[in-house]
Amino acid sequence: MGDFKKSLVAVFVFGGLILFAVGLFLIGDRKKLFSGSVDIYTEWKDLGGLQNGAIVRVSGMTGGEVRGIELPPGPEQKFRVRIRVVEDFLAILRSDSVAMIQTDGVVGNKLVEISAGTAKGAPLEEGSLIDSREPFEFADLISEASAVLANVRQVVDDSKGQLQEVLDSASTIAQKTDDFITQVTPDLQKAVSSGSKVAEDVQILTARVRAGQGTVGRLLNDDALYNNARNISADIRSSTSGVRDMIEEAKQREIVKDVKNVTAGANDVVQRANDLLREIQPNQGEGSSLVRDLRQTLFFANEAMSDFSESAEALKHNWLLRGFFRRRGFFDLDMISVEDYQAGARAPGYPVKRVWVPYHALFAQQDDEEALTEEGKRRLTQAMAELLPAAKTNAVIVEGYASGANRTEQFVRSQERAHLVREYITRAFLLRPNYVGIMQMGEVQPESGGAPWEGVALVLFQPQPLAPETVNANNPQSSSNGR
Amino acid sequence: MTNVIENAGRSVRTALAGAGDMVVFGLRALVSAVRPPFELVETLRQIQLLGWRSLSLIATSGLAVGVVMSMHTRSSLERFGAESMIPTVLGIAMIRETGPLVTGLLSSGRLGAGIGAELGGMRVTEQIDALESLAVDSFKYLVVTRVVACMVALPLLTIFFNVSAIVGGWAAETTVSGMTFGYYYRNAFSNIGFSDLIPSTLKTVVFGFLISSISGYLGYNASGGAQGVGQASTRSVVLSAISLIVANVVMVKFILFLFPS
Repeated sequence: MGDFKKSLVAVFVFGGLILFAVGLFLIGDRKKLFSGSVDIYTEWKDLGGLQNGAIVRVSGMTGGEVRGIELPPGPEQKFRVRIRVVEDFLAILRSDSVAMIQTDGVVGNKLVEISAGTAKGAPLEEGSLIDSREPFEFADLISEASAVLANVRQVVDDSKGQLQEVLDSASTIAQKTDDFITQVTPDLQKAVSSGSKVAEDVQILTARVRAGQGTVGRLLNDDALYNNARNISADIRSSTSGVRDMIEEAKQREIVKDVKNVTAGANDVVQRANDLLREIQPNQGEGSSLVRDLRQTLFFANEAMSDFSESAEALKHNWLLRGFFRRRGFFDLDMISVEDYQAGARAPGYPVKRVWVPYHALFAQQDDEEALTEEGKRRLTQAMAELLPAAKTNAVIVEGYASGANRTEQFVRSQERAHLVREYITRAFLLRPNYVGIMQMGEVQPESGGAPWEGVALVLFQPQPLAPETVNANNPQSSSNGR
Repeated sequence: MTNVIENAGRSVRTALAGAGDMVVFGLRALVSAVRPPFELVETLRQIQLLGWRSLSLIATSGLAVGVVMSMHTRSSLERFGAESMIPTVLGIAMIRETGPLVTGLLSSGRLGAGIGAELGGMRVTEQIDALESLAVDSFKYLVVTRVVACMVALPLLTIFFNVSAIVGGWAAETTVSGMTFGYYYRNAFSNIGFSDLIPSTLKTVVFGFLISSISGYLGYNASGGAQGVGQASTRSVVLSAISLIVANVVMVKFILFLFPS
């Protein structure tokens, strides 16, 4: 056998052995057999197919292998797995690292993945035990998903009825809203229209005043008129002084000469007054006069205020505002008729306090008209003392009682009495005018018989129950206070 | 009918006797292999003849098998988007089973036929008798050296076959995906352990023993001239291939028993 053949044999044998050694080295290197390593432990209830020799990855990098699996000593214990990791990985492994069993790819082998710890964790050493997380199985996921789907189906079934109720309620609300809008639309249109009319009237009035038309406009803008009135006043003062001087001089000297002077001064005054009256009285021909302008202005103002009053009344009954008036107890005291008032339309169920003030203590005839007397004012003050301070914040009705030949006379007289008293107490006690109403009761016979009631009654509707003297507002005969 | 049964029984008895002689022949070869004198030069010569000269066949076959398996594996794995697992699958398949078995089968044809024909020719031409007349232990010189050479050559040929297959697989893969060789061979060994590489490689020692002992027995005991040589050669290939496959099954079971993971 020659050397060449021997060399071929050597190449064949040693070449094969070297390749075999390379294979062994690759396997050993993958298993980190040529690096320093430490054994640590972890535990699982379910290994999920993990076997001895499985790869161990630390934060995704291969860093060791499973070196042993100890069976649990009892049903409540866990499998204890010994993991060999390369010593270099101890730099990132800590006591709070967590081991998980994962699959290499979708259908690959089971492996152990260990997460890096945190700086707070203690460094690991030989024999350390780290936490673990139970392996995730698709079968468990499917099982849980099935349970979740069953629950969702149950919830959907349960919600069907409730959802139908919600939809029905929403439909009802929408229908009611539509009806409400339909109902309110005319009121709103009326309010808008009235507001527009008021604005137009106010604009007209303002323009006329600015232009110097009408009494107010002239008073504000016509200097001549102002000067005339001022001169008249000065003349009257001068005349008065002259008359006084004349009387004095008549006592001491001849009167005739002074009478002439007085007569001349009076003529001058009369002349000036005539001039002023001519300006005020309406002209016979074309053009305008103060009286005509004033009448026209008042007409426009009255119309505008009437429109405004209607608009305000419509607004009160609007759903946005009526809550306030309902809580207050009334919308407009002047709008309550006597019949409604007697029927209990005003604050039904509210306790009332009524103070009766008879006619003879209130009024006296003066120039064929009834007027409040000083005694009447004093009696009204006493009566109001019983109603204050509640009268400041609650509605007060002044009931007027009067007898007469017919109902019209009864109505007018009782209204005048109530109006006088209302005007006085509103001014004297600084009451809010819209909280003081009048009610022309006319002729009312007392239950006990005799002459009809004459005078007024102050009625206070209170928000809380009163003492036994409280009586029904609709039964003035039973009032017990102040009579 | 009686003759048929008698003939069958005679055949079975003859087959069993031959099997027994074969086993004894093989055990004798193993025992003689560890007893001096050692025919080292002749053994090295047989290694050169049986191993080195088979290298081209084995390497070429390995390369071709690697290419073919890579292509087949790719067509299957790309359905799942798992082309990156081709080296791993190929490495496992080659090192665990395909490499040793294919190498053994190829060797049973190449070596078994050679040994059977060579020894059969020497027997019918009375060359063995001539060696005996020269006081040369023909069994030790002719049979034991070949058995030892085969037992040494088979594992080495298996290693070359595996390397060739991995290289062939990489060549096929890199033409398709441009995968680098470093990534390929690291992945090829990513799921291979010592329990995969060492037992599967060392079991080819048994393959070598079976091939050499069976073919050596048939050739060493050949008779009947050229026809006997042809029969010895043919039966060597057939019997060694069958025994190799059966032995592979037994050994795989035994390996899995020893290394269950």
